[in-house]
Amino acid sequence: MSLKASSNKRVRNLSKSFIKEVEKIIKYLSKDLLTFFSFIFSVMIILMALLPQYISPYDPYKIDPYATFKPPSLEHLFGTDDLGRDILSQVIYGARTSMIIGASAASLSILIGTLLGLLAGFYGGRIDLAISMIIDAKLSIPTFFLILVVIAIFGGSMINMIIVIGITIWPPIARVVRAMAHSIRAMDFVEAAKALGASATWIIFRHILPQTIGVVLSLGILQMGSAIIIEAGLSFLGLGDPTLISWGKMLSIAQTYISRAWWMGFFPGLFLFLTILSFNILGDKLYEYYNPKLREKVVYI
Amino acid sequence: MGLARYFVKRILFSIPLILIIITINFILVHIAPGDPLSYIVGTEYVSPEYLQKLRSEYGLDRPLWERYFIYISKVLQLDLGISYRFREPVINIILERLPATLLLMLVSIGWSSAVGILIGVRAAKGYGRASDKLASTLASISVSIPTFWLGIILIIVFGVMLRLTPTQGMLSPNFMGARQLTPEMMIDILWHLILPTLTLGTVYLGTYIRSVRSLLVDELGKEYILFAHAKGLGSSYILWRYAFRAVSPSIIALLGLNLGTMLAGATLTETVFAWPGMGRLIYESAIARDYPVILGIFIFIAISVVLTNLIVDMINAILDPRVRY
Repeated sequence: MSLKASSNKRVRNLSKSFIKEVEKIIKYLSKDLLTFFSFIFSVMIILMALLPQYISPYDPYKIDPYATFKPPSLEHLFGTDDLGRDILSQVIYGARTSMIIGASAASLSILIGTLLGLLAGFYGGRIDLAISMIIDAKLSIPTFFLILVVIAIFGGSMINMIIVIGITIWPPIARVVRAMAHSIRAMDFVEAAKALGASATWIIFRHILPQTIGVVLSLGILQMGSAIIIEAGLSFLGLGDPTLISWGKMLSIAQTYISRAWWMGFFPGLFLFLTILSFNILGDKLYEYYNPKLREKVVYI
Repeated sequence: MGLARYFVKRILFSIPLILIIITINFILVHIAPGDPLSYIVGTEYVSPEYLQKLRSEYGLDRPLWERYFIYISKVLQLDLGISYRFREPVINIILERLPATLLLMLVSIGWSSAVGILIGVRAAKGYGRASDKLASTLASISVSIPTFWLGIILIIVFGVMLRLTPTQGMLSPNFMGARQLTPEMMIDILWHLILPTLTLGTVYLGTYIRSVRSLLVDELGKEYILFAHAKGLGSSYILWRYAFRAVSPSIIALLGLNLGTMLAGATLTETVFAWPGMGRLIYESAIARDYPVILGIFIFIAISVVLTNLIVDMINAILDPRVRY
């Protein structure tokens, strides 16, 4: 009974401190206008991805032979394409594709990167050497081309893209986590935990991992941006999933009608740009938030 | 560590990298669905006898490990297979397209790194002030712009609306088929180069601004800078002659490291502007499912990137003794 009560209390405390932390982060992000805008835009994109059926004015697949190449108007805010489909609705559904691929690929890369980084940083020695070499090797191989080759051979279905992007972009995360684990391992409290008989797994997951979460999440947001631009690039080159609505594919189609319908390429690209910009700015700001040393530097000039 | 020892160490590090790249390609070819031969030479429009000959030439009738060594030796001899769209060795097609890509990349790296350095130095000088914030915002925008979107926007504005510049290809039709490079032709090529290089350079401008700024900010926090002030040296003298000189090897190394990502940008840029380089070749080959060319370009690019980094590091080691240690 008392045990249950105390665990309840703990959960309540934890959720309280979590909410406090979130409040603090939002406050930090609201300090300048551009970051605040990025935050709002990201929330909007997430809503578009979650509930496209309630937001989009038309069925994005609906072909209307009487409404082809309509310029932006009140009826079709972003105009229509070569088949008379509503661009705004396609842009909204395109957000879903981008977000699914971005979030899943980034999660996969966080999983791989954190795990390898923790192992390399905590154990050091040969494990560290091996993992560091893989990281260095990966950083010297052009990522986009590696992904392009694999997708060209195995096909660009959504699941293929998520897996291939995810297992290609993890090295930056592994590098940062490795460095953090390495420095935390040398701290006195880890020594104390060891003296108390804590196992390696306990130290890694209870003491080191929680300290890396903030930094890893901020890097994850940056990687979501890169996963989204990689997917768009692949779709633009005609290697994406043909059944999906994707901003990259819309841009690729727009290229053909460039002198006839500027809106076909302008709007999907604008959303792609603003999404990546928002994620980049948010990721950078969060990274700064978790690395206070980066905020104030001394400059003698 | 002496220069020679550094060189040997650096070269020894590059060899496994090149092997890894070749191995990745080998694995891809062999786990891909279908006959491995179709990823090396393409199997359409080929007689069964010729196919058999190719099969034994590439060792596909031998055990896997033997095939692996045959594959490595083929790649090292620059035999990257045969394109089935052009019925020509892949390496010839790549070398034919290389000059256009190099021209685009060198011009883009040239102007964007120069502008990026100027803005980055300005940002570091005004650290924490308005000019710094402006530079950071500019850099964020630059690294977030999708290459192909920027290309399309530039085509719409300068090509379609203002009709100022050509938007497609590298040469005007009246120069096609010309044997010699005349001055008029060179001007025509540069005229065609404007929009593609504006696109590619803008996207990488932000990378240069960011890294120059952060390298310089770290350098400007060091005590020798404070001491130089105490000596009474001027701000811009310290900035350029002391701090910038100290970080320039890192900037040069960065130019080398960026090559791989820049090539990715070049692929997309060339696709938008129909620039007849390697990037455009990748796009055409991807659509035609010309696997030998796609794999060949990947190997070629990856090895070029590794070798360029090697050369950049070596030049750096000669120029800057700190790198050697």
